[in-house]
Amino acid sequence: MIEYLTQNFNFITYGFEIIALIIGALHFRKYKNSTTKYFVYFLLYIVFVELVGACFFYTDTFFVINFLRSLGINSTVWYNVFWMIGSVLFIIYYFYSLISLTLFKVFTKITALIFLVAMIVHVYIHPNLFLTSHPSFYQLSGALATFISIALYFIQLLNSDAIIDMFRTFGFYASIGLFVWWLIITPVLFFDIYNSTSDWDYANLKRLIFLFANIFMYTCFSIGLFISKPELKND
Amino acid sequence: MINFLNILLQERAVSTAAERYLLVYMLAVLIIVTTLVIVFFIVFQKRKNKLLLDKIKQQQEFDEEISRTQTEIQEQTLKHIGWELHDNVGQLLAYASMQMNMISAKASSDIKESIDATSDVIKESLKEVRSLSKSLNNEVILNIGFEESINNELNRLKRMKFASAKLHIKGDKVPFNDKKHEIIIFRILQEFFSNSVKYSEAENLSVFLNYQPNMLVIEASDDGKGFDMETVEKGSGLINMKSRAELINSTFNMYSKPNEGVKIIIDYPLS
Repeated sequence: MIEYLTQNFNFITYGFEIIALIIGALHFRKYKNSTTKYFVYFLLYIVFVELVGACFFYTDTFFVINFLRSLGINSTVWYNVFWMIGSVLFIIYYFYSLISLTLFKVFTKITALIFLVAMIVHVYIHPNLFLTSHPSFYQLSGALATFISIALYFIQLLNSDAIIDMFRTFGFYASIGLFVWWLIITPVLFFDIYNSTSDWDYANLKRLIFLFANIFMYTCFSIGLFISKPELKND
Repeated sequence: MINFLNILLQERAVSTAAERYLLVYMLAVLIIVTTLVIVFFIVFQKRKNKLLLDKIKQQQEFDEEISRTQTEIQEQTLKHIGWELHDNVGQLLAYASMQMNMISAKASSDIKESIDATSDVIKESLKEVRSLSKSLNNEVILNIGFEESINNELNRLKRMKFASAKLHIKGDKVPFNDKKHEIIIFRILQEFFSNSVKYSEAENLSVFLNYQPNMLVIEASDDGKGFDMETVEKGSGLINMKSRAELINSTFNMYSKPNEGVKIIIDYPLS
């Protein structure tokens, strides 16, 4: 069982991502006029990023991938740009549209700006790290930026009447999923020096942890998309 | 020395089991703490909501109690007035009527006609006072029945002011589970009639009792000048009618337009 999971962790993750996207698409009608529609776009974006990322690993002949490779983009760069940086900005934007208090909106904006500037400066100073690895600086900044947005959203939720219907608010599920994911994944990256072919015990453990985190996150999204009632204002 | 360091760096690092366990343990702690915080908040929120709901419920019960007491006091007062009318004013009028009859027997023929007319007026007044006292006394209402009381009231009003005042009954009569509810509905209708008398300038009054399997629909309407629902100021009459209807678990609705009369509909659940 564990062997099967560690060998196919990628496909299982894709499966959960696509299930979340399908549920989002099926329920898109009820989210048409709510902020949650940005989250469905986010799921679409994730599936797109993962699809291209998977092509890097599993095909050599696909012309788009060859074109990207000819530009010097490999899977590491792709994930750095679109997952480590792009998705964090997307998530901050989602929470930015969920938050209604002006002060908190300004905070999220500043967070996004600082995050973006920090990323650009880091890439500029250490281009070789950007091209060859997933620096833990990206992960830490991403985690911090996400935590700030989620914390602001939670403060707003706690102070509003929406908390009475918390379980029918999609923002709640999105924040829980993202929060736990970033909480679990971030410390794992400190151990990345062990992530090599000479330490399969660690590599497999890391895969299991990632798998669990991904399953938890996408299940959260799926459940949230399924049972949320977006009549509630600003959700 | 440098070389030694280099060799160390080049050698691939391998994690120990202890380190891996520490990692897993730490993650587990993170997840447990997060879950605990979330559960704590949920439980806290649930309890708070329950407390608030209890408080609202208490307030509602209190309000209901007050409005029940009000109704009781009002019933008491009306009963008292009814007795007074019947025993006091009624007796005086009866005595006056007797006196008039005696005078009529002795009177000469030129004034006999006007004495008879006065005697008739006194008899008529006596009748009015009696029927008014009946409609005020809830025991009488209970005794002669809900429909009969409405009929009496309508007849009284017809004599007083209206061209027609009719009671229509549809369906088979179902006795009320709680006799007190009859009185409350009757008082709501009385309130409506008294408003009609005071403000509507209506010619016709009608009351429909529609007995349905689980429901009694009571419709009362006049054809007076009506009012604009949007602009009218809600007086104590309307509020009383509504709160009384709520007291017996009924829904109360009022419809009116200028020059189209006023209609109230009470849905009273029979079961």
